[in-house]
Amino acid sequence: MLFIYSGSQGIDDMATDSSGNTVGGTAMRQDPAPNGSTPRWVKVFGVVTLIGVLVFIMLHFMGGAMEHGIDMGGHASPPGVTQHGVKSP
Amino acid sequence: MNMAPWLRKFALTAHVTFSVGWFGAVAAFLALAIAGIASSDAELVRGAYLAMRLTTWSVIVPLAFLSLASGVVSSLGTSWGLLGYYWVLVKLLVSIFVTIVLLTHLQPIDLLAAVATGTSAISSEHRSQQLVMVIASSAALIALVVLTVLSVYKPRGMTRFGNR
Repeated sequence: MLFIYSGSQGIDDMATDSSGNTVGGTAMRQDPAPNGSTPRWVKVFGVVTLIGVLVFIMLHFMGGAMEHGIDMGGHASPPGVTQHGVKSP
Repeated sequence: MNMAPWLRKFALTAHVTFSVGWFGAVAAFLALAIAGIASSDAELVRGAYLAMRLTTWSVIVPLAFLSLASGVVSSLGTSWGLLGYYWVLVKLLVSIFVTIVLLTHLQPIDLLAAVATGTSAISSEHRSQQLVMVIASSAALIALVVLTVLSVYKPRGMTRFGNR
């Protein structure tokens, strides 16, 4: 894979030693990044996470606009309109 | 400080159990949130929001903290450490972020449950909160899948703390 460590570890190897010792029946080794810089997967992950968080916040703001009686088209919701056919008190 | 093998296995078992439980509880929450916004059965909707509050306070919140704490203990008890490797550090940051987002959504969850308790139906005024429940739980599920992927693949890379 491009930026994923190509080991054969499973989730049960989470406690394995990072220096190459055999712990829990499986040997593993973690190499440092080739030039000591931040790995590419971290950068990609950071960008994707940032976009995801921004989308999440944007959706929240859209929800807030709906809460104040404004739908996506900018129209106010009529008061007393209920969901599921039952009028609220 | 490395833990004894039996203790390390115990901590890891606890961490996996809490994490899997957290994922399952959030998946159940998402199903309830979708039922709450999509169902035309008023009783089902009321029941869904009451169940969501119960599930959140009694299962999701405790498991979130237990997963976070057991993950910290597991990492500190092995040579991975907490800050030495990017995949561990990213897992920690994502877990903290998801837990904070969860805590910020407790109020709307309680609000919807209170409305469901006090009235015969959820009004359209609460549509945004209903929608937020679906969005937030979907995002949480994605984040928890990411945590699992990081745990399994352990992408390489040491931080400046690990390089010392």
